[in-house]
Amino acid sequence: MAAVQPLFDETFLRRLEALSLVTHQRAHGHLRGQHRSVRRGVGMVFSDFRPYSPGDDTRHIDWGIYMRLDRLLLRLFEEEADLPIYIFVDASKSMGFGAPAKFDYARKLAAALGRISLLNHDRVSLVAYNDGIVDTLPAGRGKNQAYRVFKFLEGLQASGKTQLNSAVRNYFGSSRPRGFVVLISDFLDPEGVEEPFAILRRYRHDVAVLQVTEPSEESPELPEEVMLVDAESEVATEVHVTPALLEAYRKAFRDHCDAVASWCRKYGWSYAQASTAVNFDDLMLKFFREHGVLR
Amino acid sequence: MKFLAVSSGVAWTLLGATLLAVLAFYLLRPSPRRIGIASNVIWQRVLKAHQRDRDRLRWWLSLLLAGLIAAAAALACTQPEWAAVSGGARRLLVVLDNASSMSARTLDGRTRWDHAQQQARTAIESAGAGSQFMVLDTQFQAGAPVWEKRNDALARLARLQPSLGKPRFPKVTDTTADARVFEALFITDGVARLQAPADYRVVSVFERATNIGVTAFEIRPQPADPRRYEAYLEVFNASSSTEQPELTLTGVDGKSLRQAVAIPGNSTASAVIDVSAFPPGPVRAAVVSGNDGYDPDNNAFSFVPGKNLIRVALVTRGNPVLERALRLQPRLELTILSSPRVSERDGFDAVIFDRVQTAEAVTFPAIYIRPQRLAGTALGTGEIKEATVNVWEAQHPVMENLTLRDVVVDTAARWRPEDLTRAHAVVLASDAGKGALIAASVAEPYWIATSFDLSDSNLPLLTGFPVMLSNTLRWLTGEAQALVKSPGWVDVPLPRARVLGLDGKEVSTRTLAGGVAFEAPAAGFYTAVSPERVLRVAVNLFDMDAIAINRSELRERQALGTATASGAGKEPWMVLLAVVLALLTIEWLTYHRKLTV
Repeated sequence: MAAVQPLFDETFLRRLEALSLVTHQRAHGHLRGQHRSVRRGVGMVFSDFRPYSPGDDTRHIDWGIYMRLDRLLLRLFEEEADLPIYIFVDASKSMGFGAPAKFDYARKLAAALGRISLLNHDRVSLVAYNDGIVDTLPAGRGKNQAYRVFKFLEGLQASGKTQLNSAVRNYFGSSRPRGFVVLISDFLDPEGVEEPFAILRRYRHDVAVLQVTEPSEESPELPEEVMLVDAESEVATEVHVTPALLEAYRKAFRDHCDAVASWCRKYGWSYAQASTAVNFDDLMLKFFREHGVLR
Repeated sequence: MKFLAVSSGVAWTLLGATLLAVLAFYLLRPSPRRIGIASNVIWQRVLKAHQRDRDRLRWWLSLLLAGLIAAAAALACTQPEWAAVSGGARRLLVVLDNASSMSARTLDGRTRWDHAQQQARTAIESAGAGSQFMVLDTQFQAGAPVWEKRNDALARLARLQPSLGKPRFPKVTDTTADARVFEALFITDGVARLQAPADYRVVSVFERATNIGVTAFEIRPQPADPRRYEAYLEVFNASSSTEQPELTLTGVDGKSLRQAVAIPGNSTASAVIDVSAFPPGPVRAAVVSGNDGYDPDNNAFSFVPGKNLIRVALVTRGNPVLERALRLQPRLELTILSSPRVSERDGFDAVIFDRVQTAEAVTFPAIYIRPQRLAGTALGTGEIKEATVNVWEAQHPVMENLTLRDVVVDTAARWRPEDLTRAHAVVLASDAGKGALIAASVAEPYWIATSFDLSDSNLPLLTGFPVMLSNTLRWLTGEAQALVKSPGWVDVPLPRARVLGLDGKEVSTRTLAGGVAFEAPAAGFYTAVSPERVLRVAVNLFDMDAIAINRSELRERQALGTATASGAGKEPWMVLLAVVLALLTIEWLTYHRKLTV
């Protein structure tokens, strides 16, 4: 077995500390965090008043109102809760292609996003999937959990077929708090993304879709007569490559990416296409910020 | 469809196997390079929309092209007989008249023979592929009649030439198993008047031509003075207009005489010219005309003999008939003797022993009339009665220009063949049922003997007797004489003789029984030299049928129509190869334009 390489260097990790995930929904976490929560409680942001009831924390009585109106009103604040973050990493065999491999890129992305989330006191769960759930990292909180995240990711290998629908259905089939789902995949799923996206939508998760691509997929260079062998199904397809066909393929690939993006737009999710040709640091520190995935 | 290279079964098998091989190659062809990709989801989508049907079409188109190319190539190898492409195969017999008159020049500067060859070539080349040809000629130069392929027939045609022999229409027997009816062409100028069978199509290459030729040339002693000679020259103008040729006689030392004559069309002119001043030897007569279209008859040859007297002794008890005949011979000095005691010292060139028997064998030329012994050999004593000459050796110099058909002999001595053999003699004339009548020696000393007394036969009364006497004396004395022959194969009755031309070069000969033969393609003068004798041979074309080159009943030259299909003569296998090349080009173009795989 090849030696496990460290995913990041220290400099990069320090630079990640300034980033946080952008969510469009209020957090439903039960623990305190840095995300605005749907619950009112201890927090910094004023939310409302309510009459005082015995037993309430007298520290929240608005004494100014009492002086003016001779009524005891309690000041209510929005509670800042933690955010359950589910990072789905596509570990199918199709992700193993490319130089660097899309899978490595995806793992780096997951690791980086996981660390960012942990730094923001979010509860981070990792799910590696192919045609089902390969492995999961239960929710962890606190930046000291980053090691577990890295260890989990480093232990993954690309294998099997892509079937996001099955993975999503299985994972969210059991009760999970509503949270922020990060999908990292090439989305080369024969069954498409419509159904799994609909499931996520049904559970009202906030979702960020990171589509990992690599240049040879976007614009392949192939000999005239070629037998293309699918890495996942191992089905061989004989192709007589012509410039017109290559152009058609490039268009189809763009359509494929556009289709994923359009679903995201439709559901109000974040979408970013992460090409392995793009420097990873630039991807994290510039590209994702520009695309509203990170801030 | 028939196939020329192989049988039909083999051809169809080859075709089928070729197509199967092509199909197998397509089905079994090496797989393209395998390249792993992450997923073919998108490729399947693209191919479904863009390429699947087209690829299938491309594959089929490619297979179709390859199949056509292979099939065309395989068919080309079988050499199919394909009437739609090359016209129907047929059998064409071409008989060419290559008589001498075919060498007459036409107005366009070519010869009738050139036109005949052109017509034959056109007919052969325009026949369909797979046709078979037989080329024959009237001089039998073409060899045995065989059906052959186009190229062989054209090669055989190219070898033929007009020649001076007597033309005969060839007999054609189709000995092949295939009894297909053949077409027959006879290409002629009609001068030889050869009768072609009714089913032959006669193609005329006749075109009128001017010709003035020598029809007779003879050098003979002048009646008044046998030691002087005159040449008799006869010339025929075969054209329709009057011509004025120049006649030229040229001797061995370059001495020549010229004489201009005017000859009306289709007329003969003759001239008698004194050639006494010419030295002994060959003389050439030439007729020179500015627009003569036929060369073979422009020259004729004869010979001026020596002018010495021949001294002959006649030993007889009296024979006025023979004596008178001898005295009529030119240049002959006759001495009558009664005693047979004659010796070489007496200086006679020849001695005639008329019913007189010599005491010993003579060593000089002699004529024996009913001898008892010949060359020391005693002859038999029997007799034959009422014999006629029905067999004679016409080729022997003694028999030149003679017929003995009318000779009747009342009584003659019966000669036994073994006696003649012992005497080194050959029989020159005989009655086939009764025995030899005239014999001659085959070695020196030369002699000739008759088994009958001249008074017991009608021979001295016949017109040929002086000629026979003259021939005999000339032969016995070895005087140079000229045989007159026609062009073609010339027989010379001299065993082991070498034949020399006028230029002194030896002519190749064939050995015959009793002599040799050589081929004289044109008029000329030859000398046959054997260890014992020298014989002159003048070869002259005195054949009026050959010289009258315009005596034809055929119309003027006509073009040979070709009723064959367009494209006739093209071999289908060549067409198929062209198709292969075209298809290969198409395949190359379509492949590079991604239209085929």
